[in-house]
Amino acid sequence: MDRMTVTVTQLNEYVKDSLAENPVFSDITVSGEISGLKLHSSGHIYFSLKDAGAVIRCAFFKPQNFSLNFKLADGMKVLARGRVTLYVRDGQYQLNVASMQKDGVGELYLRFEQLKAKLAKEGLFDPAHKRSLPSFVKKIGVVTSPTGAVIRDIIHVATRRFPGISIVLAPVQVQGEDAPRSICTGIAYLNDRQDVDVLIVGRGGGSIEDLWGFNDEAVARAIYNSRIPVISAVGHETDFTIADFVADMRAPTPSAAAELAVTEMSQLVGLLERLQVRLENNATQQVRENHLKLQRLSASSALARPEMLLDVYHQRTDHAARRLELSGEAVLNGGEQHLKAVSAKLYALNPLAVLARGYAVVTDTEGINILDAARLLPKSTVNITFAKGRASAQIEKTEQ
Amino acid sequence: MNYKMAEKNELSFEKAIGQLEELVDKMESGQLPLEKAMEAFEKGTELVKRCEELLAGYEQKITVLKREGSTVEEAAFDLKEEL
Repeated sequence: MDRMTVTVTQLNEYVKDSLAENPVFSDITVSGEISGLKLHSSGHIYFSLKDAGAVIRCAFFKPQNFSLNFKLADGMKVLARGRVTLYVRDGQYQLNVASMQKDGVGELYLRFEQLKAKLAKEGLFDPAHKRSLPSFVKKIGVVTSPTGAVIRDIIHVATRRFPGISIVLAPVQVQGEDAPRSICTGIAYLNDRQDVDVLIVGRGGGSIEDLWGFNDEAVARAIYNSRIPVISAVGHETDFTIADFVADMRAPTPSAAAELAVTEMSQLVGLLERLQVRLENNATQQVRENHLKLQRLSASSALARPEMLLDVYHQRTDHAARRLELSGEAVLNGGEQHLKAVSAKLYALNPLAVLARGYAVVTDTEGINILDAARLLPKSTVNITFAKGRASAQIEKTEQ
Repeated sequence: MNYKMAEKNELSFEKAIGQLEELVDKMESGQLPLEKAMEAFEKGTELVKRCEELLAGYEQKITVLKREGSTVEEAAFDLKEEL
């Protein structure tokens, strides 16, 4: 037999060295669930880490375990960082833990990223959907804890900016299991009212677990579907929850939220004053302009000396009269005498004047004047026009 | 004219100030004849008064919603008390 034979010690040492040589095993982080936890009187901690298919023994020696800042318990999900080694004496393979943290947090961050991606895809964070805040706010609705700095800060800042402001608080749980349902109810009640102009939804600073209610999907949808615009104010300036992404506006602090919501009284008064000044200036200017226009018009010659207009007509009449006079035989002196003489002549030539002397006009049935009796046949009809009235007659006989 | 006055008294602050801004813009555009401009000035002055009245009239009210059985009531909110 050529096979090498080793002792148990040699075997265990060999495996231990193999593990030690591999850098992967000298610093590795394992996630699992604690079981069989033993807090030894020596100060060392012993437990097993398990998952669905396997288990490994762990030792967390002091003084390293002094860094532990939470209480260990069976069933708790953890991340254990350390070195994998084999104990020669008992052949036990175990993880020598250097530090530990709760895996709960890691899980929460994962869930946060997943929900954020899901809601972003649905369009809940879409900038186009975000409403602008009303330019004048007289009543704010606040969804937060009735105790603590948040409501206090909002009241202080809002009332300072606009003394006439009204605030309605919907008191809710801002952490714990009931928080999501409570926050949604608060948003719903305020949405039912007709007098609230804007909502502030928020809470003070805390850990990711404390803020978790504001990463809830139902809360996100309640904010998205809110008829009233929502300002979010969750945690510290550096905290960003899903509520912050969905809200119409995100404020880094509750005081900032109140500043965003409420327009300062002095600004409104100033705006009114400026508008009034513009009104008065414009009105004064209009009157002044029209006054100038009037002045210019009255200075123009047509209005200043209206008798000038008549002069033109006088001239025209004179011209007309002169032309009449020239067509006649008599040359008389003076303007009016001219006219009289010419009009007398015209009158004499007037056919009506002839009729007035006893003459009559005889026309045939066509209306044409008869000048020659020879045109007339016995028994034909003629019309006679007198100075006054007409007659129709029948011819008896004619002679030349 | 009376109907218009009643309308003005119903105007909210936002509506009143909105109308006022529109009016002033129109006047400054120079398109209005003198008589219309004077009418606009009168209306504008009334709107300014209305806005000032409204601003002065708002009373500060801080309340908290309380559930009373199956209904929700509104009560005065005392900051000190809650803290």
